[in-house]
Amino acid sequence: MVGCDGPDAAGAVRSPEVGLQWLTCNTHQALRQQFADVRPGDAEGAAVAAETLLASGDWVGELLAPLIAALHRDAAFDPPLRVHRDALRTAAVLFEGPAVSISAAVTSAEALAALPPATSVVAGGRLTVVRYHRAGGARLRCWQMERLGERFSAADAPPCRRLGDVQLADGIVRRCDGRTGATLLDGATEDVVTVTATVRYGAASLMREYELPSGALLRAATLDEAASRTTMLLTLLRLGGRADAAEVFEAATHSPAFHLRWSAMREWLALDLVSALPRLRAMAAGDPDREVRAAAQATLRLAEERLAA
Amino acid sequence: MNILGLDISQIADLGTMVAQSGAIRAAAEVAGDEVFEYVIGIAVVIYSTNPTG
Repeated sequence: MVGCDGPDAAGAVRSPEVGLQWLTCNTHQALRQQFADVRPGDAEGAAVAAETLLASGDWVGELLAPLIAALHRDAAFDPPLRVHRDALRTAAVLFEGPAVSISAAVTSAEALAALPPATSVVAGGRLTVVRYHRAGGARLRCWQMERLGERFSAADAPPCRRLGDVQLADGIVRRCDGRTGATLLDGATEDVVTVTATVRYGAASLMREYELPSGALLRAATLDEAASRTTMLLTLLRLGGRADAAEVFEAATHSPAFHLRWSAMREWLALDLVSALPRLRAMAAGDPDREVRAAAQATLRLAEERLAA
Repeated sequence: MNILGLDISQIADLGTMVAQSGAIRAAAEVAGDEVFEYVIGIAVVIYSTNPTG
């Protein structure tokens, strides 16, 4: 791959200009090319392309070199990277494409050692490929859980199962399928440097958290940002008294996401019982999710009592 | 005409509660730092929009 140069001008570096140059430089273009042949929706193809890319870590230095040079010229230069920092980890998003997003992270061995024992483990719901550029002597503790089906229910979700630990070594590339597995980093004696490609395609609908050591399901959260925004906007419509928005509530009650269907119906019933009633009857009779059907049937009785009063 | 609605607290909820996107974090992530990044991000936008203000 060919590196890219920052601006030649001495003195202050204009962050937006360097950022724009960086995004169009050869190294960045080569990254895009790496995933250019991945068909939309092809999670396996994206993972294979990521494994090929992460087999070497040399390109990361090339990618960051112009930003580091710009920082040398101007300490106030703001690199065009989305960064996350916490007590344990500093991470930056290096690349975002349709198939994957790639981030680099440094995990502090000292902070990791100071953590209390983990009381839960999270199955993130996405397929990731991780290069342990510097493994820091760490190992991975691994768990396996069932793949989410169409009929997921917290009440009868089986517990996750502990698998054997994996001892990491410098340069190892591993897949972690967050749809059926979860890991915790443990036992690092030096800081751990990772490059992670997160596949955008084929994600599970939910992220799940399991209690340790029992392995019981603790809670679930949607990975669908649109569903979350819709839920909040429907609440806003209800609080605003927007009974004229019945079509919007109706549409949301047909969402593929069972939790959004019911959440929309709750908001609609709280806003305008009469207009929501026909759809409530339909959900009570034939919603594909048994929990939604049960909730609708219970609520239908309440609604009819209220209307008869 | 008054619109009739049910008290939302009386409407049944699902046994499987699903939180909003982002509500669950991987172990040891510190939410406060994200708030910090958010506040700094807003400050950067304001400064970039009007650096002499």
